[in-house]
Amino acid sequence: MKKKTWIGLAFASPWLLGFLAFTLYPLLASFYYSFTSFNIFQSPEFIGFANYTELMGDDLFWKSVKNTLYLTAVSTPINLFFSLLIALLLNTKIRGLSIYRTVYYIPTIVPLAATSLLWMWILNPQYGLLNDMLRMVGISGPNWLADPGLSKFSLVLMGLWASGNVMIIFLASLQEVPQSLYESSQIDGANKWRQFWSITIPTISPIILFQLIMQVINNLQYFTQAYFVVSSSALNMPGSGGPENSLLMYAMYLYHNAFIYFKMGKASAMAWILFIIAGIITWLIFRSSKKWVTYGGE
Amino acid sequence: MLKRKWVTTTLALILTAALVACGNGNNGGSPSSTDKGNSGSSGKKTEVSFWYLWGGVEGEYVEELISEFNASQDQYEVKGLSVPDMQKIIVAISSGEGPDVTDNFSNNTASYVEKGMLEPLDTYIERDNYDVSDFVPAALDSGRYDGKLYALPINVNFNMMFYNKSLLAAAGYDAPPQTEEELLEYAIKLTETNADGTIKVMGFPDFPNVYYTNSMAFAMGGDFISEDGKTLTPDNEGMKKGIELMQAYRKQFGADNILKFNSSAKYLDATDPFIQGNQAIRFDGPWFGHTVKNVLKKDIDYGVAPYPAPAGKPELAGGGEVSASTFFIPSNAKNKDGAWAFMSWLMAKENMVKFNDKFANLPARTSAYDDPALQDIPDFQAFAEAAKNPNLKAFPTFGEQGSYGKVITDEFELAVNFKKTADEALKTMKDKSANLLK
Repeated sequence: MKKKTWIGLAFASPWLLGFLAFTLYPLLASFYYSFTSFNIFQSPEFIGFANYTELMGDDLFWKSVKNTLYLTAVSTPINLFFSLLIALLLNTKIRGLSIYRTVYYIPTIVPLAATSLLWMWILNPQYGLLNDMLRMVGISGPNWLADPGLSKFSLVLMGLWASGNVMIIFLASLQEVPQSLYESSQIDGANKWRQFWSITIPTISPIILFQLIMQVINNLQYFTQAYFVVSSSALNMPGSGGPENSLLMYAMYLYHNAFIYFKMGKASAMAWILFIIAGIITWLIFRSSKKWVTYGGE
Repeated sequence: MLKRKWVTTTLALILTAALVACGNGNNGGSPSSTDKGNSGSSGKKTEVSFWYLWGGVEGEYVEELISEFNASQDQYEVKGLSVPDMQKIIVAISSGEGPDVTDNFSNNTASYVEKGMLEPLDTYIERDNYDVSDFVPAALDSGRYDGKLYALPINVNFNMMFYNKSLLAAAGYDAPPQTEEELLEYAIKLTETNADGTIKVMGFPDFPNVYYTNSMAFAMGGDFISEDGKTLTPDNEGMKKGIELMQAYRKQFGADNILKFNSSAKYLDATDPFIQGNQAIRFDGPWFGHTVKNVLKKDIDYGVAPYPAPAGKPELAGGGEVSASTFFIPSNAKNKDGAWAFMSWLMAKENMVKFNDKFANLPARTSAYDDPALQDIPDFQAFAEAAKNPNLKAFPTFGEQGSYGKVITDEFELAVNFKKTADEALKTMKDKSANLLK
C-alpha cells in the first residue's frame, strides 16, 4: 500500500508539480493580491477590502458587468439553439453530408483574431458585405459595431459563425440516441415533432446541460473578439471600451486594470468576483437541471 | 499514520519549492552585464536588447540604425526586436524578462516612474557630460518626474490642420478657416451627403476622433490642470467649445451618419477618407504628409495650417497638445550601460536627424531644425515653425493620467453622441477626476 501510493504519486508528479506551481499557487496568490495594492513592480501592500469597495463604486466595473451579463444572456441561448439546429440538419441522411459537416466546422478552425478582422469588414457600415446586401433590398443597414446599442449583438452574430465546437458535440450526442426508440414511437404513431420533444431532447439533455454550463462560463470570460474589434477600429486610447464602452467586457476591464493601469490588486479582486458569479450561476443551473435533465436508467 | 504524514510533508515541500521558484521570477535581473555570446561573431561585445514598438517599414528603419550603432563601436551589440504591443513590453519588464532599452510615449512616463519601473538618467548624463540643452523644453519636461529625468524624447508630436485644397476651392474658399466660427461654417459647406443621408465627404475634423478631443480643447484656450498644478480642470472653457463645435456639426448631419462614416474608415489605409479625397479638413501629426506622399504615394493637393483660434481671441491661434516618443531604460535592465550607450548615441544630434529623416518626424532637438537633410520631409517647415508657438501645451503628467484621459474621452463621446449635454459631460468629468491627483 505504502509503495503503491509512492509509485502513484511519482507517476502523477509531473501533473502535481505543474498544478501546484502553475495553477494552485497563482490562484492562492491572486486571492492574496486581491487584498493588496500591487502594481507588479513594487511589493504588494495590504489594504484589506479596499479593492472590493472601490469596485462597488466604479461605474466602468458595473458597465462591464452589465455588458457581460447581456452578452451571456443573449449569446448562450441563441448559440445553443443555432448549433442544435445545424447539428439536426447535419444528422439527416442526405447526399454530400460530410462536405456540409466540414463546411460548417471550418470557421471554428480560423483563429479568433482573423475571424474578428474578417467580420469587421463584413459589418463595415459603408463598405461592408452585409450592408451592401441590405442596400440591394432597399434597407439602409445599421452601424453594426459602432452603434452602442447594437455592438454586442454584432459580437453574438460573429460568435454564431464559429460555433462549430458546440455543434459537433450536439451531432455526436444525436447519433447516440437509440434508433429503437424512434422506431417503436413511430409504430405508436408519433410524428417527427413529438419524437423530437419526447425522445431526442430528453436523451441529449445531459449534453445540453454540459454545453449550457460551458457556454455560460465562456461567455462570462468573453475577451478576444471584443478586444480585437475595439483595438483595431480606427484609433483608440489605451483602455478604450469601444463605442460608449458598450464592448467593455468584464475580462477586458480586468485586463485594462492589470496591464494598462497596473492595478493588479483590483484586477485580482475582479477575478475573484467573477469566479464567485460564475460559481453561483453554475450552481443555479445545476439545481434547475434536476427538473429538465434526464439521465439513462432513472 | 506515518505514511500520511510523509505525503503531507512532501506536498508541503513541493509547494514551498514552487513558491520559491515563482517568487524568484519577479525579482528582475541583477545589474551585472551578461555576455550571451551573440552568435559567436565577436566574443567581447556585450548584448543589449532593444525592443521597439515600430513594425513593418519603420521597423526596418530602426534596424538600419541599430546596425550602424553596432558597427560604430566594439563594446556593445544591440539586438533589436519589433514588439508592436506596449502591454507586452511592460509585462515582460515586470517579470524581469524585458529589454534593456525600449521606446514609449511621454504620457506614460509619470505612471511608470511611480511604479519604480524606470532608471533615472541623470547620473549617466552627468557622467558623460551629455548635452540636453537644445531639446524642446515641453518634450524634455515630459520625461521628468520629481526633478529627475527618466526618459528622453526623440521627437515632438503635435497636430496641425490639414485641408484638401481642391475641395476648399470647389466650395469657394481660397484659405483655410482661421477661427472656430469659420471652421464650423466651412465644414458644413464642405460636407456632401448621399441620398440616404450618409456622409460622402466630411467637412469637419471629426475623424480620427481621438485627434480632436484634447488638442481642440487646448486650441480653444483650455488647459487640463490649474496653473498651480493642484486641481484638474477637465471642465475648461476650451473643452466645452470643442464639444459644442462638434455637436453643432453633428446636429447638422446626424450623429449616426457621422459615426457610420468614422467607423467605416481606417486610419492611414486605403479607406482613409482624407487620402480618398472624402475628408476636407483633418487634424493630424507631422508623420501624415510623409505617409501620404512617400509611403502610400498618393497625390492629394493639401495645405497645412495651425488650428483655428477661439472666437474673438486671434492671439490664441496655433494652440494644441504636445507629446513625444520617448526612450527609457527599465530599472531592472540587465545591461544598463549598454542601453545608455545606445540611447545616447541615438539621441545625439546627427543620429536623431537620421532617425527623424527616416520617420519624417520633428526632432526633439531644436538645433536640428536647420539640418538640410530634414528639409525635404513633407510639411517639415510648417511643423518646425509651429513648434515654436507658445500656445502648444502638454497634457498634465501624473500617475493616474491614463484614468484621467479615459474619463475625458468617455464623457466627450457621450456628449458628441447627444447622450449628455456639454455641461453634464463636463460636470461628470470634473466629479470623476476629482480624486485622481494625489
